Amino acid sequence: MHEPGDWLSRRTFHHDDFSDIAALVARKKERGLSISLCFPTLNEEATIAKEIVIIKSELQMRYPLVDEIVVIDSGSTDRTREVAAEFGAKVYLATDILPDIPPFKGKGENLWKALYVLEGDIIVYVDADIKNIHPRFVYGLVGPLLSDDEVRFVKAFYDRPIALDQKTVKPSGGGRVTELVTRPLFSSFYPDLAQFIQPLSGEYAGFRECFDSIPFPIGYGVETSMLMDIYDKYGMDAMAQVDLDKRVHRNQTTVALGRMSFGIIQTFIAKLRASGKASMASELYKTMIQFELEGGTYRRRENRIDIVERQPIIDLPEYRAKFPERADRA
Amino acid sequence: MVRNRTARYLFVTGPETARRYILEKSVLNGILKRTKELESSLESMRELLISNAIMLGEVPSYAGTWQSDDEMASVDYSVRARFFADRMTELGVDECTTDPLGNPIGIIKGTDPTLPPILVCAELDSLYTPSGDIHYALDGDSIVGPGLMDNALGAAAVMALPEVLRREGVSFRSTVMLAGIPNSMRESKNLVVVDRFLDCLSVRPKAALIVKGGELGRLNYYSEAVVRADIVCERRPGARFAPLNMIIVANEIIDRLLAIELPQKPETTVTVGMIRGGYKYGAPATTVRIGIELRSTSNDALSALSGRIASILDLVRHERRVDIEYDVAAELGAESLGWEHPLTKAAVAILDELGIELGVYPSVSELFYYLKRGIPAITVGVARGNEYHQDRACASIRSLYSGMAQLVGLMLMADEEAADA
Repeated sequence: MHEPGDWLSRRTFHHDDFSDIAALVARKKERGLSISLCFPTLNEEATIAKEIVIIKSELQMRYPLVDEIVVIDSGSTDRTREVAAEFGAKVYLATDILPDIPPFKGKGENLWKALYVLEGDIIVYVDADIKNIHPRFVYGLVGPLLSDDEVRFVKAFYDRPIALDQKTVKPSGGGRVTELVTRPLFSSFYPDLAQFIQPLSGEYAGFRECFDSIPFPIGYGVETSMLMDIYDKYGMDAMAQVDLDKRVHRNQTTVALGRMSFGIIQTFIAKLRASGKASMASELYKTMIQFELEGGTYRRRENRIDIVERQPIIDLPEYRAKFPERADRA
Repeated sequence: MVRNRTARYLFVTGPETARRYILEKSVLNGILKRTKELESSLESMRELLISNAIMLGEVPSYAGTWQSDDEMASVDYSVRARFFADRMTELGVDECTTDPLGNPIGIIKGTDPTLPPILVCAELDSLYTPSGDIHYALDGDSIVGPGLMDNALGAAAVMALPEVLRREGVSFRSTVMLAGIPNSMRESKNLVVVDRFLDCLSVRPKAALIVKGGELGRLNYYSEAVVRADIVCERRPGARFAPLNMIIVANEIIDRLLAIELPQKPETTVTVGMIRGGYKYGAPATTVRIGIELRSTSNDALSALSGRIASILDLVRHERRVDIEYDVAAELGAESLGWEHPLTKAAVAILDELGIELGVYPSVSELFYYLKRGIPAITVGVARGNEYHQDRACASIRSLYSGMAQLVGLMLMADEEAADA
C-alpha cells in the first residue's frame, strides 16, 4: 500500500487535465468502451433540462463521448420525467425497473436499479440538482478512467459554494457532514479513504464491475458504503478523485443533514461489523431523534431510518441474464 | 394571409437594368426559400443553440481579465471575450483572432478573396448583471437568466454561426467576420469601444449585421440623434446664500427641463431617467445626479436642445451658487441606411417570409457608428423574450430558430450584394 501522500499526488486530478475531449473520444474508441450517464432524480424539473441539454450538446452531438443519458426517477411529483424525455434522455421510473422485486425508496435504490438499465461499460452518476452544470462534470470524471488503465473508480470534489438565495453565494461551507461525520469515521477506521476531499459528493464514475459487484444501501449511506467496498475489492490505486471546481446546488437544512449523518453512521457501523473491524454488544437503535421549537415548546420528532442494503446486482438472475458477459466474469 | 413577395419587395436599388432586376428577383426568392427551410432544420440544433446561450451567459461579462498571448498587450480582455473566441475556434471558424482592442473576431473564409467581407457582430456585455454567480435555467420553451436578452443571446447566436453554417452546408463568396465586442461601455463614453473597433478594421465590410438577443422582428436601419448625460449638482463650499439641499436645486433643474418647448417635428424628446442623491433621511443632500436622455430625429434639433439645456444649467449655476457639471456619457448622431437600401429590403423580405411581424424603429446604440462610416448596417434581434433587464430575463427557444435562420438569410443576401457590387 502506498503512503497516503503518494496516493493523493498520483490520483488527484483536475478536470482541465482532460479537457481535450476529442482525445478522450479517441481513447474510448481505442479501448472499445461505451459510457452511460445516469441522473438520479426526485423533483428536479428546475435543473434537469439544462443538465441534459448541456451534456447532449457538448458530449454527444459535438463529441460522441457519452453514449446514453438516462434519468432514473424516484417518483417525482413535478414534471421531471416529462421534461427529461422532452430533451431526449431515456427516462425510467425506478419502480418500473425490475418490477418483480419489492421496491424501496431512496437514492441508493435508484443507483442500483440504474445498473440494470444502463448499457455502458463505464457508468457516470451525476446528481440532478446542479445549477452550474458543465461538460467538465462528465469529462472530468471519465478522464482518469479512460487515460489510466489502473483506475476503476473516480470521485468528484469541488470548491462548493451553496446557493443561499437568488443573489448570495457563500464561497464555502459545504461538506459539513463530511467534516463532522464521514472524515472522522474514515480517519478512525479507513485512513486511506480520509484522503478523499469530498467522499460524499454525488458525482462519480466507474467501470460497471465496480458497481455491480458491491451492495448498495438504499439511503444516505450509499456513497460511504461504495467507497469502503470498492476500496476493499480493488484498493486505493484503483480509485482517484478529480477537482471539478465549483458546484452550485441547493442548500440543506441542519435537520436534514442530521438525518443524513444518522444514516451514514448506521451504514458505516453495519459495514464495520460485517467486516469484523468492530463488534457491538447490542443492536443499534434505528430512530433519529430531533427537536423543533414551536411556540416556545420543544417538540420531539422521530424519524426511523432503516438501513436496507441491496445485494450486489451481479447476484441477481435478471441482471446476469441481461449482461451474460458480466455473469461469466463474475 | 396571402403574401405577394415579388410584387412587394423588389430587390432593386435605383435605376437598375431589367437583367439585374430579373436576376435579383430569382436570387431573392431562392434565398427566401433557403431561409424558410433553415428555420425548420435548425430545430435539430436546439441543444447547441441553448448550450451556447447558457455557457456564454453564465460567464459574467464584467468578470476579470484574461491575458493575451501577447505579453505586451495592455488591453483589458474580458473573460467572456475569451470564451467567445475559444468557442468559435472549437466550432470551426477558419481563424480566430483579436483586434488590438481585444475584440475577438472569427473568420470564415469566402471563396472569393477579392470581395469585401460581411461583418456579423454582437455586443458581448450583459447590460443587467446580478451580484453573485449567474445561473441560467430552462423552463418549458424558455431559456431563463439575467443578461440573456441584452446581450448574451445575441452574442451566443453569432458564436453559433460557424456550426450552423457547417451543418447546413452554407458557404459564402465573401469572407465572413464574426465579432464580439466586450466592454462596449468601457470608459462609459459614447460606446467608445465600438467606435475604436470599427477604426481598427483594415477593410470596410460590404455589410454589417448587428445582432441583439431581442426582439425578433426588430429592424433598426436608422439611428436617432441621442445625448445621454449626467447633470451633477454639488454644494459649493463656502458659497453665501447657497441652498443647502441639492435635491431642491435638482428639482428646479428638472422643472426647467420639463418646461422646454419641444418640436413635434422633427420629433424631439427629453427624458429624465435617473436621479440619485443624499445619504441620510434627516440630512440635506450635498450631491445629486440627474440622468437625462435627449433624442431627436434631427441632429440640428438635438444640438439646439443641448444648447438650451446648457443655458438652463448656467442660469441655475449662477442664480443658486452651486456647482453644476454636465457630463455627457454618450452622444450619437442621426444617420440612416435608407428604406430603399438592399439590406433593409432584404431584412423586410426575410422577416415577411418567416411570418414575423416587422418592428421598425430607430437605433439609439452602436448602429450610428457603422452608418457614419458608410458601412451598410442594420440591427436585428434573434429571439422573442421578456424581462430583458431582470433576473428572470427569458427567451423563447422556438423563436431562436427563426432568428438564426434570419441571420443566415441576411448573410446570404449580403453575399449576393457583395458579389454583385
